[in-house]
Amino acid sequence: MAVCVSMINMKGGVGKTTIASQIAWYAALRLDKKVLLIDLDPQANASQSVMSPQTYVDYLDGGGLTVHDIFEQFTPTGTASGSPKTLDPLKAIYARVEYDDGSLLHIVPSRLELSWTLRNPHDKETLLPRFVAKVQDRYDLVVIDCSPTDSMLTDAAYYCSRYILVPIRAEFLASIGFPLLNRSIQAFRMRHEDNSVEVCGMVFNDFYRGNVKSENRLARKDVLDKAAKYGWYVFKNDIPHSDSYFKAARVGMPIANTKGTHGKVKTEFAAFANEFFPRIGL
Amino acid sequence: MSGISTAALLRDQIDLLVRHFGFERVRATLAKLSTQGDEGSRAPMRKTVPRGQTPVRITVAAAIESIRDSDPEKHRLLSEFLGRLMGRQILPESQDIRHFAQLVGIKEISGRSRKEMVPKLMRFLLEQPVERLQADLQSAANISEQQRRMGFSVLTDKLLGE
Repeated sequence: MAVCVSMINMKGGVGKTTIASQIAWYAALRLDKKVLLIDLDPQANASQSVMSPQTYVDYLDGGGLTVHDIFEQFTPTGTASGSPKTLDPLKAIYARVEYDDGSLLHIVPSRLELSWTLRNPHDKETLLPRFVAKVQDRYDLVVIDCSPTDSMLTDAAYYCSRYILVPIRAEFLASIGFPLLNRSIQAFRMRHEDNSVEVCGMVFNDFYRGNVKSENRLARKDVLDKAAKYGWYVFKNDIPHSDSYFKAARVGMPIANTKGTHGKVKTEFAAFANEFFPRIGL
Repeated sequence: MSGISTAALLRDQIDLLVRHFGFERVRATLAKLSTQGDEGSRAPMRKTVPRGQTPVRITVAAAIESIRDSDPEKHRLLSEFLGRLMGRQILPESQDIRHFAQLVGIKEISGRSRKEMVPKLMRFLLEQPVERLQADLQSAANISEQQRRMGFSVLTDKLLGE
């Protein structure tokens, strides 16, 4: 059965999609795992990056199903739609790559229309965990890239997940996102006492090496102080800024295989990955 | 030159022959050649390589040729693919080969230059079922720096309904 981990931070632009994609790649390539990446953001950046823009557009044009279809499978679309039908879960999965050793990377793509689901979210948060339950035996790891909101989509991710990874930037507004997230998780757990979702840690991300400003230092100190007080785990291995992550996103490749990536960047990400995976039992 | 040693080249060639004809048949033919004192067998290998063609290309071409009768569809697909690859009509840069290799299921293709990677890629493709090749080889046309630069445009047109 797969371990499911969600990338969540209420603040946008903190690196959720980058880390989700790179973690998924790392698990498939370096740990030889079977990985399913679920894009739970209407912006669909993880889909566009991992599949490549042209393949993503072709997939949608070819009628490929997305996470939007998972949430809307029982929504009547017209008088001629007949009785509700359960979605075949495998039809919403795009096989990005499958290796001879059995490891693989699959993705459930997203699309902009997922934002419409948020206009009528009633009773839909359990549809994603039901989907995951049907396919998780095929995988070792399920990674969910969440949108930066506290919404039905976040609840759906909580339902699915055993762990939450929180990417965080060392700046004031981004650091506030973490206590907000913890409050959201607390509220979810109170409503669902049987749920065991927990934060496996937060990782500082996207700061410039050797050019750390006093504001960054202050924000980091704030977070570390509170982490010590509340017992939050902060990963010892940060993920410093590198333009190669932008390039990796454009070419849809793991950072280690992206041309021009400095060895130091690869080493830093590997160090984080080697700290992260044992924490989620992989 | 490719950087592949003569010994490795010979081993690859023999490996292909064994896979295609079977060990016993290859061994029997070699034994026959040996007893005939075949002059060709004493000729330096370099002389057998046609002008303008590298051993790498010969090796890959020979490998593809060896499946002409046993798997004509795969032979056709790979011959055409190799021709376009050598002419740089597809996967023109080494990073394109790396990207394509990763896409079709090679976790990490070794080699720095395009020339070093092509034989490894082709050997992998030769092992793949023809159904998979049909889809995989088509995707090669979409991998280039030009295509990568068009990503924004492709997504914008999709979202804005052009």
